[in-house]
This record gives sequence, C-alpha cells and structure tokens, in this order.
Amino acid sequence: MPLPKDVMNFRWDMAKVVKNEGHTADLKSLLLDAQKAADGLVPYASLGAHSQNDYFSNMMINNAKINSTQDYSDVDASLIIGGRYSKKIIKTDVPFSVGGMSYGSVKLPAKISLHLALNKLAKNGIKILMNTGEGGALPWEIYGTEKSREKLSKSHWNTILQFTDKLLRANHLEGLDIDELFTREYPLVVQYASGRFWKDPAYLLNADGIEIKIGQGAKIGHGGILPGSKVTELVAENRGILAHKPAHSPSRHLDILGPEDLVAKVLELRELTNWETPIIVKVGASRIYDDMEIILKSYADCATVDGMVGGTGAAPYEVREDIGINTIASLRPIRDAINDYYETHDKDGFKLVVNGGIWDSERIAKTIALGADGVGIGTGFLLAMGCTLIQECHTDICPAGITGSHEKLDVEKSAEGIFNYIKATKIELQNIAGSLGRKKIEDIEMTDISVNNLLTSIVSELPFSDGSNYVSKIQSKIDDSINALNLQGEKI
Amino acid sequence: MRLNEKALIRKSILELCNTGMPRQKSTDDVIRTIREKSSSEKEGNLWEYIIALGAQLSRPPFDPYREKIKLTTKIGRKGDQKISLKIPILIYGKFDLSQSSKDALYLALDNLDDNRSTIGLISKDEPCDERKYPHFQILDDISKLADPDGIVLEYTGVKTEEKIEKIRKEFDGPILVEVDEYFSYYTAKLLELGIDGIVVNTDDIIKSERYKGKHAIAVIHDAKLAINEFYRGKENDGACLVVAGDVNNAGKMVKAAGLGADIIGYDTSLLIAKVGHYSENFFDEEITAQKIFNHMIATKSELTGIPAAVGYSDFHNLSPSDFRTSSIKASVQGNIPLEGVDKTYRNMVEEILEEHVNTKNISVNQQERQKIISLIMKGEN
Repeated sequence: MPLPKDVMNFRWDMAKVVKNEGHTADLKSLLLDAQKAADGLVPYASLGAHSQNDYFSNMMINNAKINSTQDYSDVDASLIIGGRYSKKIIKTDVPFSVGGMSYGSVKLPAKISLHLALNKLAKNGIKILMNTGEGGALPWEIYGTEKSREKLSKSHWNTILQFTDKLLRANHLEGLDIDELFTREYPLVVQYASGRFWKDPAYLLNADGIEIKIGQGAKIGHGGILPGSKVTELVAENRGILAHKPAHSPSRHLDILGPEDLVAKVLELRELTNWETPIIVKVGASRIYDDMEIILKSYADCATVDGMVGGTGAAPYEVREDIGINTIASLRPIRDAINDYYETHDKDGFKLVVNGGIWDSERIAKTIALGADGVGIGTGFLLAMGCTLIQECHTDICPAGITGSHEKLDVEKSAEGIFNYIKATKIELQNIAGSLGRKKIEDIEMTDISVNNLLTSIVSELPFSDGSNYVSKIQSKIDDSINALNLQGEKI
Repeated sequence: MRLNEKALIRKSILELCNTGMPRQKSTDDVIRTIREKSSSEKEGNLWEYIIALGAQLSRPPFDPYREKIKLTTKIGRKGDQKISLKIPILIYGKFDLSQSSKDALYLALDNLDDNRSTIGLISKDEPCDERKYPHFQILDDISKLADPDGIVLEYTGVKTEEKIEKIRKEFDGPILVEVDEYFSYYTAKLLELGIDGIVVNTDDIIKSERYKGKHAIAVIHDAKLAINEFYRGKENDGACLVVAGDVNNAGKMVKAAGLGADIIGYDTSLLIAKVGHYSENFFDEEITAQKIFNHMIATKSELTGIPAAVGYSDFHNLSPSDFRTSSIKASVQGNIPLEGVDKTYRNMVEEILEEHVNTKNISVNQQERQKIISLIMKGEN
C-alpha cells in the first residue's frame, strides 16, 4: 500500500526538527520511524539489501570481452546438477538459473511470462532451470509433462483444469492455449521450505529437483513472509492456506534442528523419490563454513548459497539490511569447507550454486571463477520484465504489475524480454570464456580475475592487477612502518 | 549495492532485453568508476558495514512470532536497588521539549508500562509523582534531588567523585555517570566508588579531539573495554554500559548491544514528541502519546527479531562474535572480524607480521611489534 499522506508529512516534519537540531538521523530512517509511529508495526522491505560493499565492481576479468567479433558459440556453457547420490541429473545449457520467486510473491502474469520464455528458449536449444520459490507450484509446472499426467484420473485432471481456468480468468489470460501452457520443456526445481506451502504430493514427485530451503540471504534465520494483502483467494487456494492473512513460515524447519536432522530429511526425500531426484540444500550466507560442512555430509547433491544482497518479496527492513554476509565474501569460507571435505573424501559430483547480487555475464563469470558451478538470478528477471526498482514488492503498488497492483503486465512482451536477456547473457558468457582462451565456462579461474582494493583481495583471495595480493600489500605496510619507526639500523 | 548502481544495472539489462545481443560496455566498470570518484564519502557511516550472522544449520534460529525472546534488563549492582526494564531502553536526548510534549511522552511511557513494555527516562526534570516508568534524574545540584528511581551525574572531574560519595549516603537507587572522552582513565575509579554504570553519548564524544575522525563503534568498544578492565579476573556484578547518541534505529541498537552496550539511550521518542507540534494545527497529547507508543512497540518487535534470527532467545546474549564487517575501518575501530575471513584486520596484520619478520629475519621485539601494528591501524582509521 502506498504510504499515507500523514506518514509522509510526519517524516518531513521530523526531518525539519532533525535539521534544526543538528541530529544524526537520515531521511530513510525517519521514514521508517514515521511508519512505525503511525501503525506500530515492523516496517517491511523488498528486493535486496543496500549493502555498501558488494565487491563485484571491485573485481576485473583480465583481458576478457563481453562483446567480440569472434564466434565463441562452441564454448560449453552447460551445467549438471545431481548424480552425486541421485540416479537422475538436471542438465542445463547455461550455468545460471531462475531463482525462487513464488506465485503470490510475484503475480500470475509474471510467472506465465517466465514459463513461456523458458519454453521458447528450450525450443531454441537453451534449457534453463527454474526454481519455484517456497510458495508451491502452478498446475502447469507440476503437470507440464506427459509423464506427470499419465496416472491422473479424469476427475483429478478436470479439477486441475478448473483451477487453471480460474487462475487465467482472474488475470484476463483466458486466451492462452491450454495445451501450450501444459507443456513444460525446462527443468523445474521445487522448494521444500519450512512453511510447506503445497497441498499436492505431485509437487515433490513430479519435480526435476527438490531444494530444501533452510534460509535465504535477505532474511537469514527469519523464515518466509507473504503479507496478507498479497494472499488473494487464488494464492491461498494454490498454497492451501487462509486468504487475506499473512503467511509467515517458521524461521526453521520444525524437524530440522541440526546436522543429523538434515541427513534424515534428505534421506526421507530420497526414499520418497526412489533416489532419482537431485536434492539441493539452500542456505543464506552467514556462518557459511559450518553450514557448508553440514551440507557436504548430508547426502545432498548440491548446495545453494544466497548472499545477503539476494532479493526477497518481503522481509522486515532491519533483518534484510543487517543479517548475512556478502556473496563474494561467502565464497572464501565455502571454498575452504569444500577443500577441507575433499581432503578426506573422493571427489564426487557435488555442485555449488550461488545467488545474490548476480545479474549479468560478468558477475556470473566472477562467481564461477571463485568456485561456484552455477548461479541463480532473481532480480535480473524482474528487471527484464520491466521492474522499476521502487522496491515495494511487499505492497500492492508495483507499477510494472509484476509483484502486485492492478497494473497489467504484457505477458508476450515480458516473455520476449526474458528470452533476449538469457540469450544475450549466454553469448556474453561464451565471449568472456572464449576471449580468455577457455573451452568451457567452468574453466574460468581465479587467475583470470584481479581486484582494485585491499579489502576485496582479503575477502576473495584474489590478486591485484600487478600480481601482488593482500599479504604482500600488508607486508609493504609492515616494512614502511619499520622504516618510519626507525626500528632497524638498516632500512628495508 | 546503492540505488544509483541498481539503476545502472536496470539500464544495462533493458539493453540486453531489447537487443538480445551482447552489450558494448561492462556495467561493473562503470560502477567502479563512479565508486572511485566518490571514495572520499565512502565509509562515513560504519554502522552500514556491520552485519550480524544469522543462524541456520549450525545453530537453529528462534522464531520471534512463535517463541518468547527476552529483552528484560536490570540496572543496579546491588540486589535491593535494581530497576527492571522490559525493553533495554532509556529515553534520553538533547531535544528541548515543551510541557505538552513532555506530558505526551509521560503518558506514552505509562501506557508502555501497562503493556508490559516498560522503558525508562533520563531527564533533568523532576519526576512525576504517579509515574509507572523508572525516571533517572540528571542531577547538577544535589540539593535538587527529588524522588527519582535513579540518578545520572555528568562527569566533571574530582567533584563528581565527591558527589557520588555524598549521594550514596542518602540514595539507594542506581547511579549512572555520563562520561566524557577520557572515560578510559577514570571508569574503574567510578565503579570502585559504587556507581552502577556509565552513559556514553557517542555524538558528543566523537566531536572531541581524542575521537576525531572516529565512529560511534570505536567509543562503544572502548567504553566496554574500560568496564571489562575493572572486572578483569572477576565477574561483572551488574555494572552497565548505556550507549546514547548515534543509536537511533533497531539495527544500530542491536549492533551496539553486540559491541557491549547493555542499554540504549534512545532519542527518537523525544523527536516524535517534539514533532507533535509541527504536524498538528493543535497539539493533541493523546495522539502524540499514541505515536510514541506505536513507535516503541514496533521497535520492540524489531529488537526481538534480530537476536532470534541470530539464534538467541535473549537480546543480551548478543556478543561481538555474532557480527562481521565489510570495512577495514570498522574492523579496526570496533575490533570486529572481517566477513569471509572471520578475523579482525588487526589479527590478520599480527599473523602476517609474525611470518614476515621470521622469514626475513628482522629483529623486532614484542614492544616494537605493537608499535608497528598500532601505526598500521592508525593508517586505516
């Protein structure tokens, strides 16, 4: 909901007093104070945290080109998830995926735009993975393959079609071809989150992968939230919850309180899926070395780590801003945990997917160079659909009609934008790897990247462009101090 | 990421969406150029570079919606004189309020107590007779001692120490002393005289020559160190650190608590009380009181949310080990580990120094090593 006029006025009145009295409060914090004074509620926020240091822009890919006259289309950009313990694998043609954005958090037209764009890409030879988010899946996602519909009774199928009809009519999309809609040609990973927002067991059984969501970068340790204003009758019906009431999923899985519980949960899901489906465990970047150690031992095929700048549909403002570490900073302890694990274990197919503040080819390449096998993108896809960054996804005023409001999203145009975004990002990635002389995207290494400041070198272990690193820079400071203090007869 | 950078990213993505072809320019290069140009203002507010470590697999989080998170704190070192606060906040600030604003504030404080959300007040005014909240009277002159629940004295040197000795004879409640920038020299002495805690106003102290160029986190870190120094080898019997000044939102309060603050001296409620006059054509005491009340209830929820997400059922369990920073300056000033390496910048320099002098066979003794480290740390401030 837009902020009432009296809240805005109160903020400006506070700003006047603050200015007159030389106080330290800033305008943003005064707006939050005015909101709290008006309704007594915790202010919410959306999209990613305003981290002052996300490191990506302090890193350069040495001698790489995103645009090239040379043809690097033979550079292998594929990614395989699964096979460490699962019988099946997910193979995609790009090392990035659509991060979890659930129905409810984004509106139906946005979900359909993604669905249509990913189908079109698959037809054009680019398979890209989509994550459902924690709010359940839509009927055509669950029953989008012939195999998934094989065992359905006629009455069950009719019920699914009736609900689909209701969804489409409510969004003035009844003109869509149902057969085309119920064709899913891209791999789908469903989230198994603490809220258990699904009512159909086929949600788990028909998925290509299952992601146990322990946490997410924007609200680590807090649990998911869908404000009541966004829980429409249809969203509620799809999730199996009450309409118009906020959906607060618990901050932790009630049956996963520690490492042993995670093992038990992974094995439970393995049994449920006959050890066929790849299982992923997702955490926010925080106490990441310890969390990775636990995931590596949990019989999971893959870990997803979400940096603090990873987006959200809704989170308490202070939780979003103040909890979790940056994506790049998380990669050093993650590498340490993986290396320590494989010192005593044989190499297997464990994969690492990293999210948070990654939205273009360069950032994907930088993340892969630092140890990720793939990345997840959320906000990038919202921008491709026309997001204007007003950061009100938790309310009903999205001017682009993606996350709320009565604005109508142009499904065809959005799908076209997503199609182009993915296609161009793949070409840019191939150009980067090709211009570095690599045959595969996964071959981009830390030696291909340099940094421009000390802190980025410390947190990433990357060198400066002159070959020095944070250790040699600090050694120079030590030598300078010894000279300045005249501690040695002979200067260093 | 800053908003202007996000706007650049949006523009760049739209280019990809419209053309379906690779871009000509790297957006990270553009962002880097902008950041380099604005580097002078880069690390002004160090609060923004400090983050808490959320709990997940290695430590389960609590759930603030379904479980009780404790905020209660006590002020006072002796059992019979302790004052209990349900939220670790004492309203304190420099805003000059009219009588009607004060009345609105007093009404809000009473209502908060009725709502099991007791907070206290530090004020120069005489306490109201039928108040429900604890009132700490700022006392310049002992003869003006009314009937407060606690006393705050401003440190003015030896005279303050004499004052404490005198007051202690006739007043049983907690005595706090607001200290100046030299607190590290005399905090132990004050605690020895029996005060119950110190109040540091970070806004005032960072204006002093001694803390020039430093941030509130340096003051909080040093103040906690001064208290800990007194209790070296023994258990703290309840002496508290009250941090006022630049701690005007829940995020800063939680970080201040992690750095060592026991109670926050909070002035936003005073600001709301004062603004009542600006926003209404007439001043309505009840409306203003309701705003102060609402604001505090929301703040209380925020204060429970972060510790719960970090894995604590008690706000006061937050400690420096629960925080990381993405700023070398913040690491140096607050002794906070850097994110990703889990060591303070100082620890890193110490380790590299040790290895460096051994490898190069440089002869420097322990004292000289400390001088080297201090010089490097000074350069990062």
